Amino acid sequence: MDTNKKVVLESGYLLERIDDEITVYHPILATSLYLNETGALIWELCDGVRSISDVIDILVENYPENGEQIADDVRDLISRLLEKNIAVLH
Amino acid sequence: MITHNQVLISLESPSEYIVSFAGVHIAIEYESEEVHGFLSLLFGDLQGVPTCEAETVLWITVAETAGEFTLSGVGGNPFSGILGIRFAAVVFDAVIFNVLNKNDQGIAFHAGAVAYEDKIILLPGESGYGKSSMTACLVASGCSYLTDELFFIPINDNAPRLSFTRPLCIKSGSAEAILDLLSERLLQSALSDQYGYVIPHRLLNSDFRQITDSPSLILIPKYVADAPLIIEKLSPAQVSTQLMTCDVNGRNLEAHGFPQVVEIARSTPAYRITFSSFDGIEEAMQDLFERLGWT
Repeated sequence: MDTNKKVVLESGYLLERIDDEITVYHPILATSLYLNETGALIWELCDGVRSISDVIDILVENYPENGEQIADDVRDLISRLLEKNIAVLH
Repeated sequence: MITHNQVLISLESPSEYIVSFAGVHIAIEYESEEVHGFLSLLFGDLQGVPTCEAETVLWITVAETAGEFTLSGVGGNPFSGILGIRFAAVVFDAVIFNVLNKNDQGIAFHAGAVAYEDKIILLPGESGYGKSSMTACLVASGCSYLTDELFFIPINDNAPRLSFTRPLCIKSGSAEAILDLLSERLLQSALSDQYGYVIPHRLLNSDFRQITDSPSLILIPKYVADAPLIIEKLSPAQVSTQLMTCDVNGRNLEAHGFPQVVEIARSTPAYRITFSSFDGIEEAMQDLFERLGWT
């Protein structure tokens, strides 16, 4: 995965934040996705402007104790978003 | 307008069944007593005598090939075959499609449902996740059967929740464990062929009452070969996501019913049950009922 690319989320999805988690549903794609607390943070940072590296850097800066895990979590989640066609890389 | 009946089947004339669910009425016209018996098996548990005019008519006629019948009026090509498991599946699909096709009065979940005393346990799941198996197991353990296929939650909070009560339909691939729950004598009352079984639910538990309350528990079955039995609590966000995969008529609803699904998930305790056999499920469910304060 090229971490210099930006994650652009598809428009039209519906999102509900419940406690610290997120559930996402895209009516056109008929796709649903659950994001735990970490996933919810990553989702919110994927604004189409930040690169994947930017997202990782921000999270590592805020959660240095989880530094190594964070990069894996970001890549895993973005892979899931791409698989479900909820996001594309630019 | 939602009717107060669950699924209403009546023999309106010697050659017509009326099937009503969630305010939609389907007529099935037929021309032989053999079909009448078949329809009685598929829909015979359902009580009520609707007099409404049917929106959709299906026909089951005698086919040219000896012993076969043809279902038509469902759009696409007519289906022909013997009155076996595949034919039953096509009839169920046609009826369910037509009752939900334009229904925007509530959310229909692809789900089993049973009742423990007066509390409904909803068992949502996509095909292949063990929904029918878990439903059968819980019924055999003493829960009252409601459906193994469809549960309808009206948008109107005051309207009754509806179970599409049909016989248990078990595909041949998952039949072995369930058949262990049945005696040989009882099994003879089931319809079966190489494709599976249609089992009148009273063979598993004769205690049957329609209950129209909201679910008190969501239990998401997940069959995994060789997996240990695990019951784990799910968060509302997890449950919402799962429920949306089982939302059958979402396309008819604003935002696909997503806000309503989230509300259901917020207000209903939910667990995932991972299993590979029925061993220990009854005891595990009793433990869960105690945790929920049901016993």
